[in-house]
Amino acid sequence: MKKLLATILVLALALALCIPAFAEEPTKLTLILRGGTYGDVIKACLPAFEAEHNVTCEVLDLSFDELHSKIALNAPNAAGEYDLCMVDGSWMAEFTANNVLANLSELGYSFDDDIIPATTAICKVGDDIYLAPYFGNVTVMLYNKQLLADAGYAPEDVDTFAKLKDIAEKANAAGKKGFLIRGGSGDNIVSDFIPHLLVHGGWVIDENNQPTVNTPEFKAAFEDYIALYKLGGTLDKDDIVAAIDNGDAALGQGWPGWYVPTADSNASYFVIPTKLDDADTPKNTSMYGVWTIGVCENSQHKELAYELLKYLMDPDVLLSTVDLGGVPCRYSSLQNADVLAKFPHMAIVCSALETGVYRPVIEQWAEFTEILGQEMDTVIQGVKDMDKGLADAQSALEMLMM
Amino acid sequence: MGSKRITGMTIIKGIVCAILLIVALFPIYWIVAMAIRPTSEMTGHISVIPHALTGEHFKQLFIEKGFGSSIVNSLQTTLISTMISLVIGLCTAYIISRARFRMFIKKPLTYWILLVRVLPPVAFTIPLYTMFSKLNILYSRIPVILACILINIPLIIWFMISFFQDLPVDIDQSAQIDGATEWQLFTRIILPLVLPGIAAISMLSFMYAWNEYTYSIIFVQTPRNYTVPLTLAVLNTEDNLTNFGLVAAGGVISVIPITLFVIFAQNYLISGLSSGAVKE
Amino acid sequence: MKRNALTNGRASDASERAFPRLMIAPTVLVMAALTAYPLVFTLIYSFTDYQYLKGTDAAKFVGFKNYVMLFNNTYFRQAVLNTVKFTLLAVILEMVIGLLIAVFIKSLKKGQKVMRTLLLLPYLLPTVTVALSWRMMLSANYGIVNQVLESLHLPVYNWFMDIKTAFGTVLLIDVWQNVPFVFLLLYASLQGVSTNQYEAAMIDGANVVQQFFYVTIPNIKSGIALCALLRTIDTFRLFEKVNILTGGGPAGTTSTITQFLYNYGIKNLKFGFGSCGAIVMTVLVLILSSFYIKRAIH
Repeated sequence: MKKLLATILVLALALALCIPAFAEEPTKLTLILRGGTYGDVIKACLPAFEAEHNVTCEVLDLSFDELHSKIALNAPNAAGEYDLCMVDGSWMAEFTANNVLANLSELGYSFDDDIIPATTAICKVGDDIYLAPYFGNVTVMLYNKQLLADAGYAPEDVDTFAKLKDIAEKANAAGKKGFLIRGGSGDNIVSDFIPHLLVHGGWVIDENNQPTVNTPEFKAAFEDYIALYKLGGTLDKDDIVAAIDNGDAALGQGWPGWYVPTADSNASYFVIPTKLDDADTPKNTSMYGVWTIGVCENSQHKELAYELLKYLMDPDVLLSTVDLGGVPCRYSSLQNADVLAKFPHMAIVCSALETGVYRPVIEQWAEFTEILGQEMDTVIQGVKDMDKGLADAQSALEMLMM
Repeated sequence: MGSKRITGMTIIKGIVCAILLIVALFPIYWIVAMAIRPTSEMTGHISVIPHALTGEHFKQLFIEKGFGSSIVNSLQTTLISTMISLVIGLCTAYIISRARFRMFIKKPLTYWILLVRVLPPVAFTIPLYTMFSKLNILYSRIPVILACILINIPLIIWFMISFFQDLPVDIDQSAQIDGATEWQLFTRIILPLVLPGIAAISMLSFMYAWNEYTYSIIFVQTPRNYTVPLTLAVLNTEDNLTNFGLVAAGGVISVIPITLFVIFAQNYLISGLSSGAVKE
Repeated sequence: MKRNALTNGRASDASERAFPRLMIAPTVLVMAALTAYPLVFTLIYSFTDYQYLKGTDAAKFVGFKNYVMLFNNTYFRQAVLNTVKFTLLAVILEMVIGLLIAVFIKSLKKGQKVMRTLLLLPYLLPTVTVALSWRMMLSANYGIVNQVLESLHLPVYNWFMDIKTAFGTVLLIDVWQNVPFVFLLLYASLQGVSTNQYEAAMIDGANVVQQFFYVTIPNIKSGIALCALLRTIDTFRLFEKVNILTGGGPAGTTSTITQFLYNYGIKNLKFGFGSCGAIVMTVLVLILSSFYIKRAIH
């Protein structure tokens, strides 16, 4: 028994002492990215850059919430751990107000004409550029081809929310899920709902940045949204994609990064309808979720990180990401003849990127969605009635925005 | 009649045992089964027993996801923190257990240690993070090591006190008559006598440090410091969920140390866990 | 310390006196640095509007505002209720199941040791791994559980997202993981019950159930109490499983106090508010564990 113990102790000691010797040298650049396709396309571009600049890049790919908190937690440290970071447009205000991001204009960056102008709006404070639009994420409507055909629609015909509901009802009657909504964190819930709000002419804040979630528009949109939810269910992102792909569900809102449709895939997507019904006038209902890239203010390798950013934004490099599921915010990629031949939906994405609506640029957006999402979730799940839920959300948000 | 009833009872007991084992072990089996089957077998109708075996997930895990370095990190933080907390904890437990050392600080310290055992980690994470940030050590593995030490010291002290107390004081006295210094008495005589206790609590400490997640998720910044639970949690984020094989392969690796302990040293492990009840 | 040991004779008197101090010093230092400082820091900043990105210098004293906001927050109250409900249910279930298994295993003539080891495994697994495994099994699309239920024509659920099932599912997983601990502790206590008592009870004509209630239970009372206390304290702090499996949703039905603090204090970087929550949580745990501490000190 003693022998066994002694052996274990000695082994443990030896291991503990030896391992630090193996500790690798710190890598030069650390990238903190959104996991999934968004980060994967960047990773695919790295080897060439690493070879050219003789650096090694380390990548941390995280979920939405964790990406936000990790970048923020790292920001006040004197010597930052991260060099290049991926930033959701909606965090822009908070990050620039607190000196998280390096001023790219000062480093010498400027936008060229090839970048879709609308996507650069969130990247600037005044004339100073802090971020570069990297991944053109804009909400689209995922659909199952078979179920859509069964309901008697062609994708290009679905131009009103009334038709969405009709499809969902028909699919539901056929024993399938009609319309899927996204559950989970506050941001998921709010983002999923925003197009419905837009088509009803509502918005989450007014021009003075005061919340407007207890308005007749919001309520009407929310009621329609819940009616759609009742024809389907609430799922995780991956389950939404899987359910639509395998024919369990007809419709669900998604992002291009989730699914790469091909000619013989079971599912595809179309632009979110712009009208309530045929009598309605069209509105902008596509919501941006552009993933931007920036350099951390406390990066220890600012120059090199800036080089990497320029390299990643290069038209040719961006074009090469399309095959991997990338959606560059550049005309040269999205209107490229070869790309369009292979991925016809890129034309849809391109027009959506030109006309989409941003999430509000307010410093408290992360908290805003947490509060609103939570209240909406309670209403969707039937715990609170709508009037109470929206009134609670309104007063909590008013306190937040005070 | 009697023998028949016994057989009846035996069968029933056998069935109950089988049910218990299935309930307890199926999730573990499942993670193994998912790790070794090809991705094509993970969609649609999933069979309980994999039809084909593959090592692709493990290969991918190590080559693409750099799981090897997570294992090294985990081993390093776990072993270093266990060592340090053992040394510190044993010394303190010994002093507390011996009435002849009279110190004002003993009683408050005992209370304090117990408090730390029960307080929620969330009370410590924020200030510790800002503290580490000011000390500029967040780039290193020190924060996680310290967190594991914080978790383990109270456990070790609390566990070892009763072991030391069980040793008769005569041993101390006769050793001192023989002219042994306090340090000699402690290292040469007392410690060897409580080796089984040390073995048990080392294993437990190792386990808690190896499984540590709550502090690490906040403290660890860079991928090169990621520990196994953290890497696993990242693999499990929304965007990777469909990659069941990878997640499962990582899960299988994460349970290896515990499995080894159970196979080779289960008595120590079990005595470590059950000491609370027996010693009361 | 080693130096002291090597010196000999009278010269070592001073070092002999220093011995206990030196032995205890590391613990005191570590505890002061890693717990006393943080607790004081947390207490102070719980009265400020400290926002992490703005830094401690910008934090302003706001009195009891955080505390008022916290207690007025319906989701915090919901989290407290959830935590209490979860703790009560989990501990009761774990105790009952654990005790039954312990008694059952004790009654086996063969294989006690093997069963004990195998049944213990769930407790030893990393929580993250446990969460992953269950998440796979309960996945709405590719989960084995729904597949089995479907083939039996039973209703299937989207376990972690359905308000009817999420709480129960997390509870079940936590119970699954912690029953072995209860079982092991109670099994160890059972070893201390002498067979004479059972024989005496049998002579008095007590059946198995009566033996259980009049012999087994009274004999392991203290073991049961200790075990329940330990489980209560640990369950009350539940975080990892919830954070990985549901993040507190749907509609806050699985939100525990710690998860609430993580979502509204740490994730939002509102450390002032988070600190206030941490203090409240600390006080609650202290009240809960005062029994345990009192007991343990004696």
